[in-house]
Amino acid sequence: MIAFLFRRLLQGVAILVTVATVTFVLIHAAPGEPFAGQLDDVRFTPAQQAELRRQRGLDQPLATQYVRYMGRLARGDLDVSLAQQRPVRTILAEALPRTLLLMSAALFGGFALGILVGALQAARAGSWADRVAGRITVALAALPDFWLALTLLLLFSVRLRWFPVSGMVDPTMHEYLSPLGRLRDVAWHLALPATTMALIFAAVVARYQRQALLDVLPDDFVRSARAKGVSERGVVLRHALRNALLPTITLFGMALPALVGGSLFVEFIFAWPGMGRAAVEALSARDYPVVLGTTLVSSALVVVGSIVADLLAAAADPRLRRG
Amino acid sequence: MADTPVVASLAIPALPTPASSLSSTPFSRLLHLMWRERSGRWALLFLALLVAAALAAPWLAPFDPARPLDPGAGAAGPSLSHWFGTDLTSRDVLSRMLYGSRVSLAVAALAALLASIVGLLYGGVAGFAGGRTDGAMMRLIDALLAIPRILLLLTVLALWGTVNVRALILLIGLTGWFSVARLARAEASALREREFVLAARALGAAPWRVFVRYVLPHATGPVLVAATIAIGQVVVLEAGLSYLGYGVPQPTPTWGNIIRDGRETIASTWWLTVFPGLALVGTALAVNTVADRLRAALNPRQLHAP
Repeated sequence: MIAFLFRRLLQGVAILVTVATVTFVLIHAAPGEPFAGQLDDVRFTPAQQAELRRQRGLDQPLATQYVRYMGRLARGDLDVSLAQQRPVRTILAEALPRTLLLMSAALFGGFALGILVGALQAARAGSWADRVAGRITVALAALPDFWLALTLLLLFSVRLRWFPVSGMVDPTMHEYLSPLGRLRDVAWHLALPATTMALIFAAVVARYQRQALLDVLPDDFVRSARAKGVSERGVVLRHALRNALLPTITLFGMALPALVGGSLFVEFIFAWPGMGRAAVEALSARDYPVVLGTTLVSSALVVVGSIVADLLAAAADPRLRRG
Repeated sequence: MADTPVVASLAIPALPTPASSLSSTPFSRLLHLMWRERSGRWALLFLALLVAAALAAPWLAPFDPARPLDPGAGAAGPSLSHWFGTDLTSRDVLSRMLYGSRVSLAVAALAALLASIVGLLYGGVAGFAGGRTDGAMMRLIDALLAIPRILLLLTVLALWGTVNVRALILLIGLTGWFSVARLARAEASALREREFVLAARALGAAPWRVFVRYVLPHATGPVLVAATIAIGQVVVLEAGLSYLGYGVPQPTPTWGNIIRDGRETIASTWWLTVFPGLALVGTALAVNTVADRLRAALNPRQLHAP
């Protein structure tokens, strides 16, 4: 297990180095030179421009610049935001926990609902309810995340006024609430953005879970359980589900890039102050160090997530540890 | 290459792999297989109607999509004269959606085509080459797939600045081929050891000829499914980018741009969000269903999978 973990970590580092290299190539392949917006400023004299270029290290050969760039990233230095004049690391350190809160709520809700629906469908495969649930999950999985976010916002925040329209806390009252009240305030703001992401993810999970269950139901151990006299519900929920969870765990790793991408739209629409919103705002300010930092941190998140998924899968199925 | 005609005349089995070969499944047979299921029928009908509506937009659209009908009137909800209402500058939403479908569908089709070609070539070469070349090429794909696509696109857009439609198609296509490449690589890698490929090589055909004549055509089946899925993804992606204001430049109508037009006034102009959104959902659903049916048709063993 340790060797397996070590191998996966090494692969993860290799992937991140490649991602960083890709971003370096993108910066230097872009038309004009990096920081063109700053350097082209007419208020700078040619001498000042040369000085800025020297400070940024842009006068060095590309290979030197690459080594410095990778060195900076290795130390966790993500450059300074052009618009906010603060280190990108500070900006993302504020935003990342909020994105993680949103994503874990969405993942938890998505898995819980998806596994439940998938299991119920498999227990009554071919029935009227199974077919209707199948239609619904296919349609939900096809929904554009930004459109579902807008629709839920329109329905539950604007029309019914059940949930707040934007933000993470109540802008005026939050300060004066008790600790428990603050928690409720955040949960109340979290409900709609998390539900948006959870619904789409649950649809994908349900489809996987149903198929995975139907794949193991003909197995011998299921027949033994039936022969022992376990009820049909017990067979599905207690015996088959445990063995059918593996594909769903793998799904967690595979779905992460899409979830991170989806959180960008959801955060933007509900004004959730996380990484995705920071990226979109930075984009409109042409603040590309922040966009770049978000991309790097999101990719790291995906890599770490896929390692966690592999470890979970290996814990669930010893055969995978050798692979 | 004096001996290539020999290789060609040995023109390998008529039905090498019913499982994955497209050449053995004529287009009409594919259509027939998809038509057999009710869901496939609905999806094909929907897409056919959509494409017809997009092509006939100039004749179908009741109003000029760019002209404010009643300057100063503002947005109006759905009515008998404007089925889907009008937007904030008093333009007919139905007409804009009809014209918008041309842009949305064209961007999706071209970007998906580009992604499929690049992915098929890259993956095909990797799988066919095998060994270290394959390993190195696929590690790059692993890394590129770890970057969420929307962020990769936003990074490029942040660095490049605003782009026109042609550059947008290029960008979306060039950020969409990674998963296609992985699929094509798996196919090509399996084909490498097949008898008819070995035979062609043994007869002295140059590697590139074996690749173009025998490996690529057999890898197209799965890539066709991936390309169909990609079309649905790009329709949604383009709408999302346009919604954020970084997709097709305004004032060109696309479904995403219409939704963007209504984003500030969403509380009072729901029709600007709901109708283009339903077009998006319908298209994504239909395209996914077609991809599903296509997969089943190309792989008879899975025909009865859900």
